[in-house]
Amino acid sequence: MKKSTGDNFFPNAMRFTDGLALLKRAGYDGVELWLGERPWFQMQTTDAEIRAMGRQVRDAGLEVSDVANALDWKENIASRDPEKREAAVRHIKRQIEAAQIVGTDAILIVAGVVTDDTPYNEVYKRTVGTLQTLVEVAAKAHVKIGVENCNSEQRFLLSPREFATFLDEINSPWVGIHLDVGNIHDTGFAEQWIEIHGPRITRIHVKDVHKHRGRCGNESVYTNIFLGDNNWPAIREAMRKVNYDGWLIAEMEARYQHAADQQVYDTSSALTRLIAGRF
Amino acid sequence: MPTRREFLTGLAIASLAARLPAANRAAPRRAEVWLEDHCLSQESALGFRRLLKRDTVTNGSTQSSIASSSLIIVPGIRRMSPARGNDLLQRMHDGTWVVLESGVGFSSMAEAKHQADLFKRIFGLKLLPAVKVAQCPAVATYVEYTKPVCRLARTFEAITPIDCEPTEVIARFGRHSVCARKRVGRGGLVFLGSMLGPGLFAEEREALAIGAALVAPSANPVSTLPQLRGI
Repeated sequence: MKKSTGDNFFPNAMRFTDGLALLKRAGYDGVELWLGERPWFQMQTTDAEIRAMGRQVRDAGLEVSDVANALDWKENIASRDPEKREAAVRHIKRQIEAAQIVGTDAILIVAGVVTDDTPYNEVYKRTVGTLQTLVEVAAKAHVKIGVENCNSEQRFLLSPREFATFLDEINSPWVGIHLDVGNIHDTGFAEQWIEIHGPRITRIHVKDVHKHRGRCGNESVYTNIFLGDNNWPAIREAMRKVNYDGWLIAEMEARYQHAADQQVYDTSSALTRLIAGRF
Repeated sequence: MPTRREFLTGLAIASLAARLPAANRAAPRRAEVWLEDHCLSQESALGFRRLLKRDTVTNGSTQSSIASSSLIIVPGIRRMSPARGNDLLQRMHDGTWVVLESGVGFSSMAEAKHQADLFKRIFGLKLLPAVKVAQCPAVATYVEYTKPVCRLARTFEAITPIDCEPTEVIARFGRHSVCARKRVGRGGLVFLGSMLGPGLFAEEREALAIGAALVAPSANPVSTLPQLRGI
């Protein structure tokens, strides 16, 4: 397995190349590029600029693990507003293009956000329908669309079996699950999600979660690997069971009040322990 | 991605199979599932029946009346009688492969001892006291099969370890040997000390792979194919 983390985890005000150097020093193998998060990678970023980013990643001795986006929460493929839906399709297509340019084979999207005025059934239908139209683009580019499980934030696809049914309905090898083992909270067990989805897992996001704490104001349920309630030995065994040998991508909330880069190092060490199965 | 061992085993089986008469390779094996009268056995039987159907193996009646079946599965055993045990043994000698799936871990101590004595006397299998999975240290989450395929399968609450020759072991749970395979007469015996049927019923991917490999004719060949032994 290989270790990665997002360019949105670079300490604030750090330049792209300095962030890459930090990841390399900390022992990562790759970086997850977030479209729409930091100034260097936005919708208006040109192909040439993306190509240059890819070169900078390689020059730093890293690979691009995948291309994520921070735009789905505002522009979602299940939105009632057709303009937002079209914008969502545009940025997903841009992710696919960027993935091709930087030489990776997976993207991350948040597909479907249920709200009080966008009900579940509508979101489900629209999400399946739109992803079926994107399949062709992904297949042509040889880039897999990884649909992330943001269970409680999306209020969508809350159980692993429902997620499997959802993927069955899309029915394409180019759409799988970008599994976040920290997002399952109190509604289940990450190791069982791994078992159920097995070969459909495109990438794994890693963070820990305080399962029994609610979200309230700025209080987060997410925390550093090994600090929360995830059963990490069981998660590691489940990866072994389904022969997952791909990228582990730390998706951390920057929590350190001082020495922000230390969290990057600590996360890398934790990933190493997780991969080695030393608990 | 197959492991190196699976790849090599696949090659070995393919090359041997290529030398077999076509009829042997293509013919589906006749299989039966022999139930016991309790929910553990019945749930597991549903899993095995689903597997047999999936693999287009003939699915026989719950009570055997056909001596020519090449595979008999007895799911979730807790109450095997000596008569049934001897019947199975005779069929093994005649060329049938029998899969004995233990449900003994869910029996009372007296029942478990009775079954252990019967297994020892009839099949020469030494069952060890049941292990409750929840009481084990969290070092092992799954039963690890090494033959006929390398896969991890979920345990099923209580396992029945066995004491047998290392060469006969096909799966372990931590330090315990839990599944074994051995020749008996012209047929043979596969003992499952951890229940596989419920995983098959739940359509667990790895359980299906293990189950399919266990019931495949190449995994438990009849004595006319002795060269496959040990693969």
